[in-house]
Amino acid sequence: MSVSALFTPKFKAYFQRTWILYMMIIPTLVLLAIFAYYPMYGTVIAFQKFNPGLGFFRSPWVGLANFERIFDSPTFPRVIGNTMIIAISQMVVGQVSAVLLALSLNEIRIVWFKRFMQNLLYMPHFLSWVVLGGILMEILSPFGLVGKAQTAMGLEPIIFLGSNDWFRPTLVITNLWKEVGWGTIIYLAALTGIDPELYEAAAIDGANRFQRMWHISIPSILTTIILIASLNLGNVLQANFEQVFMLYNPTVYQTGDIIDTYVYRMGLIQAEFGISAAAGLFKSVIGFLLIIVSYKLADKYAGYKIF
Amino acid sequence: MSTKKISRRDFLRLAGLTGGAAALAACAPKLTETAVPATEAAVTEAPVVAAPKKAADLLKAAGVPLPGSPDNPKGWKTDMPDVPAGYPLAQPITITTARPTDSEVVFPDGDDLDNNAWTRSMAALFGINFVNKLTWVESDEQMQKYNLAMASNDLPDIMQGVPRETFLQMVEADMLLELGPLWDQYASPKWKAIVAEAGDNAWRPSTVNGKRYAIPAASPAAHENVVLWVRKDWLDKLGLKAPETMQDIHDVAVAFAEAKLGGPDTYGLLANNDFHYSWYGSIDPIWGGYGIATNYGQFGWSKAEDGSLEYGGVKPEVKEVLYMLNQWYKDGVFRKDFYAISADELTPDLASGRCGLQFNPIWGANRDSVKNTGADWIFLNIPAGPKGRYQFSSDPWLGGAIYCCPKNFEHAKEWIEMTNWRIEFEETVGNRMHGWDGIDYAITDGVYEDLDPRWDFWTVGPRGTRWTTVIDPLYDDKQNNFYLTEWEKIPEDQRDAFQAAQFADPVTVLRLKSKIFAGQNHAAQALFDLFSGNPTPTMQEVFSDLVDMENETFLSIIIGEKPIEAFDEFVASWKSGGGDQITAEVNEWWKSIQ
Repeated sequence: MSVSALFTPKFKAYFQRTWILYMMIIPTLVLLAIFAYYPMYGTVIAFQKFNPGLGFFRSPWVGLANFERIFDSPTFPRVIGNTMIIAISQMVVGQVSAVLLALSLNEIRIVWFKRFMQNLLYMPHFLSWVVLGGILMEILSPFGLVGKAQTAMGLEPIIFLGSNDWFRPTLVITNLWKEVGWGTIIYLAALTGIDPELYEAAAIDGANRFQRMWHISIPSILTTIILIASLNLGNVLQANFEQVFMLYNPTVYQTGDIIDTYVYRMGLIQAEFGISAAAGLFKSVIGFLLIIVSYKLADKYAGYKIF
Repeated sequence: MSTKKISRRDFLRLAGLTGGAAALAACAPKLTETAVPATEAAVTEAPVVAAPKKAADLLKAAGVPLPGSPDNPKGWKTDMPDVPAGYPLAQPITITTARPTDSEVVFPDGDDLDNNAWTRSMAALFGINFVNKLTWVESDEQMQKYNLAMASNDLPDIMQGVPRETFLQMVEADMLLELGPLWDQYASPKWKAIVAEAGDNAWRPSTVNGKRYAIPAASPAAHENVVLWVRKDWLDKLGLKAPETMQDIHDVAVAFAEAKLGGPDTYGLLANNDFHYSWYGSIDPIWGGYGIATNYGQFGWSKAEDGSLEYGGVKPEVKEVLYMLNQWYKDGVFRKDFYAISADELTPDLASGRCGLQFNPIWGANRDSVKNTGADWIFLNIPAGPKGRYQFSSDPWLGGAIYCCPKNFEHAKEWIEMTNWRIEFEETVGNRMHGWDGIDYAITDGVYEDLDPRWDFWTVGPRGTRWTTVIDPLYDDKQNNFYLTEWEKIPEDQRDAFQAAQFADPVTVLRLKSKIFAGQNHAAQALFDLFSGNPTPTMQEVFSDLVDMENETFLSIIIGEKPIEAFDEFVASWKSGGGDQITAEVNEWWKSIQ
């Protein structure tokens, strides 16, 4: 097909109507190209013994040696397991709570109170883990707020960040507190989109608040819930590095060490960029496969098609 | 690794108190030595053999204020050696630098890293302008910035604190100037004598394949060496004797904790989750007493009976120590959650007076605890163990810093000659350089007061700068000794403002004394990590895994999560998991340097 064949009158009309929309995409494409596609060639580091002075082209190639080092490590299976357990529990707990919270917020009828609560809930999202880590260590220490409360009740203080039983729950709960408010935004948006007439009709038919929630709110945002859930699947190997890094210590490696913290100790502090690139590539490939799966799932259960 | 940086930073923060890093020139005769390089310079450089110039005249001519407080009745005079022949350069040059900086590197209004009292003086005296090209605060940032500079092939002229791995990569990429021969040519006899005294260790970190790619600088000797700090007021209250042995430490700690002298959260001995050596609240003398060498975040390599090197963490004595530490933990010697706390988070425990025993360098005399809780700290020598009194020490040269330059750097000669002058100026014992009146300090009504800026943080190494490095590792000790012995003889009413300030604050004097004490014990008690080569191949591959396993196992044993037998399993897995191979490789290296 030659280029001129494109310029049929029909296409011309289409182009005249829509060119401005295409123009609007350009900045995004440029950004994507610069910040997502251009750096992708750096992936070659995963197959090199990388030296910044020699660059991508002159650094020696080592084949799959970097991957072998990661996969051969005796602790690797544990690290993968921890990552998945932590990531999945954070996802599940996070999403269920966000939905419930969004539904409750949606039921608040006093506007200023609703706004106030929303702001209050969003706020922790903007705290960095570096700051929050320090605060949590203080609060959770046996000398801190929680420890003092336990002592006052005559209990032996639990050392949350030093116990293999408590470390994962602590991660999940602190992350929940930080992110749950933020997570409600998309559901609140979906809830706002529901036609109020439905609620009115249901109210006239005698449905109480919970029945309205169950039969109108939830079914209306179900697509959104499934969509988010399936898109989250791509992050199964993506536990929160900053959070774990700030809070963990050697006694909880058994339950808290994740891929990123392990690679950090192994590679980055020794300037072994190849190792971290290999780990990153591994996570990306798995993530990519899972995203394909989740795309199919989203299509099947939520009827959501991106392409 | 980052702990190492913190240690040095914090050391520096406090170094000012000891006055060590801050001292400069005065009363000694010094004309002759500085003149030596001039002849060499004349041969290689130019036909001009001008007479050495008076530094003070040059500064006055350039309108740059003189250091010190010569005009104040309570002040002192800061003499400077003559500037070597050929300086200031007729054609001023510019040298770019890379340096660490942080919130403590501050300037008077309008000044910055490139333009301050020190840079103006150097421009006037030597005709050298320094322009800072990159700075960093955290060690991650440091590596990133060096990587970026490497990737864009745009390295600063004088690079400080290049991480070991990055340095090796720079050599591999053939980016560095071979500085060794230039140093041989231009360094002053005094400098050469100091480096020669250090033997092979001085050049080891900068030598790759027999070529010296960097100029070494030392960290002050014994600056990591800890003393045992004890709350004297608590001892007295309970009628206890000062602890001497390991058992004494346990007993005193338990007594302190049980008497709850520091409130309900009182515990005995300061410790944190880095149980090897750490910059704050270390327990390295406990390992040392059993002959086990430590290092930052790992154990060290020490000589076995047959003369080969063995790793500290798998020695049979470790089991004894772990057993003992587990008992100590159960008895309440340590903070309940010490294993979840890093060294950086311990200061509040001292400041609020929760603990009564600690192994620390000078900062064990914690000002806040004195102010808040009336703590009366005394320092004692570290306790004796079955093998004697031993503690972590790093060789000043191996633990110091190296300064390297890119291949195309043309002014190494000028930089080295300027440093020759600075060694005379700043490292002659008894010389006075406390900075500039009105900038670093103020004297109001005869009373000396430290201001925030610290001039030595503005300088360009290898002498001085943030994360202080010195040329003579013993200089600080000599200087501190001088302060205590010579100045003490001056009648109180005749002391100048700085001298008076040194003696006015009991904590400062206590710190000075503890530092001198640690320095005196250094030679007899130092337990070095003897491995100072590059990571061996197997080390690169599995050592971080082995250290992980060590941290996890040992801490779990200490807190009773795992039985003491877990140590035997650890040793077996350590050996089969690459430890034996590493030991063989380390010994190969050890033989090669004998």
